[in-house]
Amino acid sequence: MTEPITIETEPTQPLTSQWKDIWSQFRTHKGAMIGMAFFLLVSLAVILGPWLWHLEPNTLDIRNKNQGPSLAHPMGTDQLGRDTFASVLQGGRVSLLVGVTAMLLSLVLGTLVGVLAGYFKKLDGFLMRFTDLFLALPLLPLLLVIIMLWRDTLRAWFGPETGIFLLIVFVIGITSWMQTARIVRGDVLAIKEQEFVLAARSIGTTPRRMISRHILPNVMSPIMVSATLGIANAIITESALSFLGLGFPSDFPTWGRLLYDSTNYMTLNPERVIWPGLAISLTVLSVNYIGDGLRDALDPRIRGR
Amino acid sequence: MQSWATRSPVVDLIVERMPQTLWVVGMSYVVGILIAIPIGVISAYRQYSWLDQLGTFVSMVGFSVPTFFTGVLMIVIFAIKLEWFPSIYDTTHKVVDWASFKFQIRQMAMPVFVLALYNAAQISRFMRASMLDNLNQDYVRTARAKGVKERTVPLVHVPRNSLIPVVTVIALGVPQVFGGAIITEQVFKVNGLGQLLIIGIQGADIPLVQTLTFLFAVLIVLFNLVADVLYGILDPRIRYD
Repeated sequence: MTEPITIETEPTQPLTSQWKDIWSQFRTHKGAMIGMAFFLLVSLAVILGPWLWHLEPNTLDIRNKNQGPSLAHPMGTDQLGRDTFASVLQGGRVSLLVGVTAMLLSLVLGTLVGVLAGYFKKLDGFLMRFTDLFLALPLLPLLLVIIMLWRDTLRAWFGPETGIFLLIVFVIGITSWMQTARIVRGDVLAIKEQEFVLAARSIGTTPRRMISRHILPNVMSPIMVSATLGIANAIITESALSFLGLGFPSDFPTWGRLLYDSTNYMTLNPERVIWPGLAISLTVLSVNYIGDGLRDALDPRIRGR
Repeated sequence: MQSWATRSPVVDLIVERMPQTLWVVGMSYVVGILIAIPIGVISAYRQYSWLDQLGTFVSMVGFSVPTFFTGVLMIVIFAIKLEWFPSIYDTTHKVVDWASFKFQIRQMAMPVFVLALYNAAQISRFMRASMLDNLNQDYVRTARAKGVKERTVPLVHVPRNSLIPVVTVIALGVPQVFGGAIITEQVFKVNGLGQLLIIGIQGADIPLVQTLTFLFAVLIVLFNLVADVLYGILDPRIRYD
């Protein structure tokens, strides 16, 4: 007689929070877990690495130029004898920082546009046509033209490094918010029709409170998925700009810039192009896998398949 | 309008570079579609099989690895180490006989493959999702129930309906390919329209940049229209009245 009772009480035991549930679902996605581990490893390496590694990225050592991988230089050296490993670590800082900052900017913009368009019917038509307008733009040529027009002004205002950083984060942010806005709008439209929103409105909740208290927490999951995909997109776009020679200057390397600089020495030192490219590709791949796993974990319809 | 850098009419510069872009980019888009559609069909029909897993992985790699890295990697492997293909696209090369045609194929192979992989990664995802949507529909069950050969269902009935959204995606992607080709053209030194834009931007050649961006804008509007019209033609349930 006691046995059925214990079985019956067992399911109530692990009644945990929603986030723990999502985490346990996320852990079953093998690709996402590997991606997460790799991304954490890369983040730790680029944050702590430049302090731990004994060589500075800007130290010249002309006698040891264009070397292949060795114990002293695990990724070889470039045409001025600078250690590639130190440059990759330092460049990763900038690349990841650009990725995260640009993602945050595009997320804020996208969420703002999406929530406003979904919640206020008057704004919907205008904001969504505006989103369509941005979606129709060819992004890479647009980015290149914006950078060409504003680069010198911003450099004069903020100095060469901060100026270009702000410009790149800004242009990536304002050209990648559209997907987030569309997804958030769709979800807001669906949530707005639910009864708890009606209940909240009937007790006189103001629109601002309604959005911050009831709407936003419920659209967190698509926003989180967009966040991961946004990081991947921003890293790729920044590298592409640097690769075309319109990103960061050579003495302030990012992964894209390192790849661009090393293509000129491709025949002389072919191994050198692999490292920054591999860093970009694996980081983006891991972030995309995290996004994939997160999407599966957050979508209750796919659960437990 | 005259280019500030070369003092020649901008239109001449564009006409001069159009064939290379159309050949390389157009070919890569066609190859990408031809790879993507069978992959999408197979991975949807055998969902969660190892083929599907492989297809998912390849397409994940395809849009995670940027074209400037795949391009450079291919140059290192196939042009520098193995010396199979030339690393630089020779635009002055003319096809006159069989040998020069073979050379043309060899020099086009790498840029076309790089761009095709990137395009195929995106299109195959759309194709797979669209196939999955259609495979559970009633008409599929009807087709099987009335005794259509099992092979005909995923190869004829379902793709015809699944291709409707994919065709619009393909049409919408045509102008974007010109944008993506900027990087690939730069990697393989193809002097096409994308490279012309980069030269214009680096040299602050405003008339050239304006003309090219205007051209891109026209292409985008045009292909958005094409996509809309195609959707109406292919799917009779959609009517614009």
